[in-house]
Amino acid sequence: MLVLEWVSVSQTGPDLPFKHRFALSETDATQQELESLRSGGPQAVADLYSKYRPQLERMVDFRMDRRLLGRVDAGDILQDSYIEIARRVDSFLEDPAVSFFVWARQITWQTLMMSHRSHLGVQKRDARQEVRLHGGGYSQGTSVSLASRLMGDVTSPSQGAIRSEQTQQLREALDSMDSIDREVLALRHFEQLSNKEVAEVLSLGKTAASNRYVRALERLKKIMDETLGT
Amino acid sequence: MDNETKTNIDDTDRNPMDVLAEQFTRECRDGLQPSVEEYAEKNPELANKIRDLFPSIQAIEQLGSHAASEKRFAKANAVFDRNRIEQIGDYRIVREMGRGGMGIVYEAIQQSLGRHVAIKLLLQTSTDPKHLQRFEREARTAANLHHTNIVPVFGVGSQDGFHYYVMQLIDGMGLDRIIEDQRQSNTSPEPTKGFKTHLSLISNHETVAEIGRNVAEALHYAHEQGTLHRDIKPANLLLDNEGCVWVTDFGLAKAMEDSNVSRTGEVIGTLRFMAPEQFSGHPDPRSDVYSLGLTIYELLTLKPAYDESSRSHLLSGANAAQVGIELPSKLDTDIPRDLETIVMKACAREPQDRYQTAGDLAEDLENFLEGRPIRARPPSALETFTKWCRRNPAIASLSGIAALLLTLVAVSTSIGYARTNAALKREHEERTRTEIEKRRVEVAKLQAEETLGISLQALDRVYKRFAPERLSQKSSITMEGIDGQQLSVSSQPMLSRETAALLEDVLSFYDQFAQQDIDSDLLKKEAAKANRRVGDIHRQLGDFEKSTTAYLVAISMYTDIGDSELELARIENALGEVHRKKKEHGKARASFFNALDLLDPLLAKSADANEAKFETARTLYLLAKRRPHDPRQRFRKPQGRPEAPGGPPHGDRRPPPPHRPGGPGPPPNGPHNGPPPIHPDDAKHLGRAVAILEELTSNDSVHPEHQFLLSLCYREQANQKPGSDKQQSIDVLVKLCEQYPHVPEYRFELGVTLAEVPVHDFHGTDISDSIDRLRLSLQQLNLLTQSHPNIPRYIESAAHTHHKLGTLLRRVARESSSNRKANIADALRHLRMAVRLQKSQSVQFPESVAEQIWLARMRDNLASCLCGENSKEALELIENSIKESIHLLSGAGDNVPATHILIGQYETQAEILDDLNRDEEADVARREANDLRHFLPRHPSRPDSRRRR
Repeated sequence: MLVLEWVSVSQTGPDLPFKHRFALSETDATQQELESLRSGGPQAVADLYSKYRPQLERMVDFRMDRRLLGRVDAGDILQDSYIEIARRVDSFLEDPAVSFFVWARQITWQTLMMSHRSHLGVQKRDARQEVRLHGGGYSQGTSVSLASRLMGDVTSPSQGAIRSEQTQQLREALDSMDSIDREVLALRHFEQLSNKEVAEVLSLGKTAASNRYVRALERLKKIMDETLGT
Repeated sequence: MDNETKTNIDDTDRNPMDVLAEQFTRECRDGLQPSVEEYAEKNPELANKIRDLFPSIQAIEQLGSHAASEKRFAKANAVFDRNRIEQIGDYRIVREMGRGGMGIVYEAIQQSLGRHVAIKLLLQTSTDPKHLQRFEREARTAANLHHTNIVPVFGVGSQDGFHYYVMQLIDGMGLDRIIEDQRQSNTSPEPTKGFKTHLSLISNHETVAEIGRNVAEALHYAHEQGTLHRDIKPANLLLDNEGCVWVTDFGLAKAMEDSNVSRTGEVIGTLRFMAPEQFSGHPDPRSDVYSLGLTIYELLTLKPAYDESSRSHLLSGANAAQVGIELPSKLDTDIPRDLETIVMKACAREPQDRYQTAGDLAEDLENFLEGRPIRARPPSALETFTKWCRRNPAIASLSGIAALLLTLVAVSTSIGYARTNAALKREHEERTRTEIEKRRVEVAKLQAEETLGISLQALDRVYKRFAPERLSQKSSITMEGIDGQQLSVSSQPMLSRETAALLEDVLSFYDQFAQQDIDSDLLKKEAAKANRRVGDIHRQLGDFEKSTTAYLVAISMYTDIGDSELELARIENALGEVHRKKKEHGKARASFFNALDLLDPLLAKSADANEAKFETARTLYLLAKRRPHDPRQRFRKPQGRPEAPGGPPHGDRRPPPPHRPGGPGPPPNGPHNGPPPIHPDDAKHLGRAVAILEELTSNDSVHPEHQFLLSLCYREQANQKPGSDKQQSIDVLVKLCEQYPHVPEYRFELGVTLAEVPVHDFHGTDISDSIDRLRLSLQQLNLLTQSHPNIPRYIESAAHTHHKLGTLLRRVARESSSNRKANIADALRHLRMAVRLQKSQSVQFPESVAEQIWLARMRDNLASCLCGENSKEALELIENSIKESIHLLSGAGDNVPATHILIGQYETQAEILDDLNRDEEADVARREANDLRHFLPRHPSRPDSRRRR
């Protein structure tokens, strides 16, 4: 039943193009979304979900353990998370603490973690759990996903080697940053979230998130400079 | 930019930098390739931060933008996971055999022929017809290889956007799995199930050697057909049930190149087997030899030759070349010495140290298998040391131990030779009875000589590494004094103290050797050469008298030996350069003409005609070469002071001195300090050199040194015609740097040539052209200073180029108000950099007055630029600098340049104090400056009206 609904979602397509989000004040947009969810029923959930689907898919792609590629499709995760969202949307609407997107992202992330757990058995101490660059070991830390994300696409061996070097440097740089700095960069650049979304995800004020981001960039630059020995 | 309207609504509570960064990021994602500089210019108050941070954003976005292709790969994998394929074209799939980074291998039945085949399905979808064509072309090449050890390719095809290869089905498994199994069975006593037969197959060294030989033969065959494998590794070598080895995936690496192939972990893993030069994109047959060498290594030791971490260091190239491979016998003492020697030669780091063809490797493995002596020689201690030095010039030059070791090795071989020689002589005198004995003696003697010969050659290489012959040596850089006077500040030979110490050690060895009484023909030449080296080293160390003497001895020895015209010409040229250094221009010309006479008869001979031609061209170049700053140009500008290279830190505040000679005249420091006089024939000589080199390079375009000299000749031609462009020279150097990215000398000259731009007389070109060139120059020089942080002249050039650029930017800022802030900031950045680099130079060469003077000059310029921006910092800087400069005056010798510098600095100080409204102190500073003017010859005084603005 729900699966059928899902198919209709994909076909409907987003009725609010991505760019329009910027045409409205962000707060207004959030309010409007909540209104439409309250009045529009399951179709409204489906529409709104498909609007954010590309971003959610990016998140899944970025955070999924490399070893699950091929075994688990991002689509599978998204489908599961959609079912969960549809199931819980009413209780979310009772007292929405964050925007719909941030909430949906949260659910999707949880779904992904569940999937990791069932496929990889996080509890077991495994050598592969250690942070490894080339193997793309699993860890919930951002830096590993960043690194293997960067490693993921290699067009020729030599390019791979060069990128491997850059990744190595970037990874080292990220490793030495504190976790919020790291997360801010990942959210902004790899999940492509806006400042407001980052603020919500990390429970920061907008100004704080914004300053945090600029500072994280500065630190990254500084650390990279140091590793490059300039 | 309508994006702004989209973002700026809710932005009041955000960091303005963030807002810009977001907009920039979005433009990156939309593929608009936004310009950092544009952003900086539009937002002058954030310009510095933008220049600092936006490149990182670009990098992150760029690295992250490949998600799409990765996703495609994962999806394809998943699709094939869930949906069993039953049919591909004519082929019915029987089972999946394996899965790798690039695709899935199936066993299939070709229905039309009823035969079993293997199909490799590549998990990359591409519909670009160019990729398709390329893939098919490579596959066809592979299909044309017919060899008993190469898996035959039957054909290629594509279905639904997926490419596949059809190959003969080999009933066996990849060596990677065999290695893995063997490794496990070694660690656990329980024999692993299944592959016992295979295990036993590689359990002895002979079998490994046989596998290696067969693969090497297969590679040799393929190379002769013009096909490289490019991806030799255990996984691409299959061992069938008969123990026969098959090479698979020929040319696949090439076919997959730049086709947007998504490759995951496994491929990264195989980088382990890739030759260093492959990373820079120049694989040749020796790269395959290297990969095979590492594969055999792993078969023998069951351990990767490099662990991951050292490998990743290796990748970063020139800097990180220290990683060596552990000797196999250290891991397993049973490994035969000869086999080890063969493997180590195959995977030598430098291509020229490896087997030059796969065939040579196969032959030596065959020698080993047949119990014959192998060709490869284990490297002697000295060779190993030499190689180490070659890889670690910085470390080697820093460590006194290295120098000690080197001399020790050299001297001990030399003593060994002397002893053997003496013993043999005695024996010889006792009269050898039989022919056999006589021959034995001769062989032993030859061997001793050979050993010494090898030592000398090794030493020679070490020497060259430390003190490379430089074609274009600058002996001084001209600097502006006050009131536009040109000062020639001669610089010391740019040798670090460590290098100088090492050279002196090497020198003492050469010296001893050169004085030995030699009766062997082989060694006579070596002795002559040693004398030449003695001359070279003395020249490097700045002892021109001793250098001349040694050269003269070398000349007489070579004349005795005879038939050494080329060598003699080279020495004459070296001698000529020494004369030039001593300002004996007449003698210098005589030497160069001697060289030309020596070379002339050789030009017709075919044997080494090319070398003679090259040396002729070099001689002509040396003969016609001038310094970068032509004395004729010194007084060419009657109005104002010329601005190069320091630029006018004070605008037109300083008028020309009243008593200044109006036309050409002797330079301020007297005739002895000048460059070689201009000779009317210079242009003719250069023209001839260019003609020779152009001929050489058109016939023999692979010789980089010919092109290098050509570029220098072009440059010199341009230098001698003021206003002409150096583009021709730059073009050649750019090409050289592309082809030989690891030769620092080419990059250095490129950087230097780019930096030779007009800085005051633009001859119709634009100041912005000069700025662009200087920026390009800095790109090159920065690369060099990063990879070779200890080479003084690289740092020197970088410092001067930063200084020039900073000066020009400042001038632009002064002349036009647009972007003034950004330009000033940029100017300050470069001037600061110049000061920083020059500071390190002056620390390294504390006795060099020139370095100190330049430092003072650059600080003066920086302080002057800071004035008005941050006058307090400016004041502090100039006051400290003045304190240091005063010491320069107390030194012996020529104080004129230092006086000029100090006057300039006091004037800058006065100006800064003016700006801070500290008028009285400013007047004190001005008085100091004026007092100092009296110490100058012709003490030009400043008009009093200028004392206050």
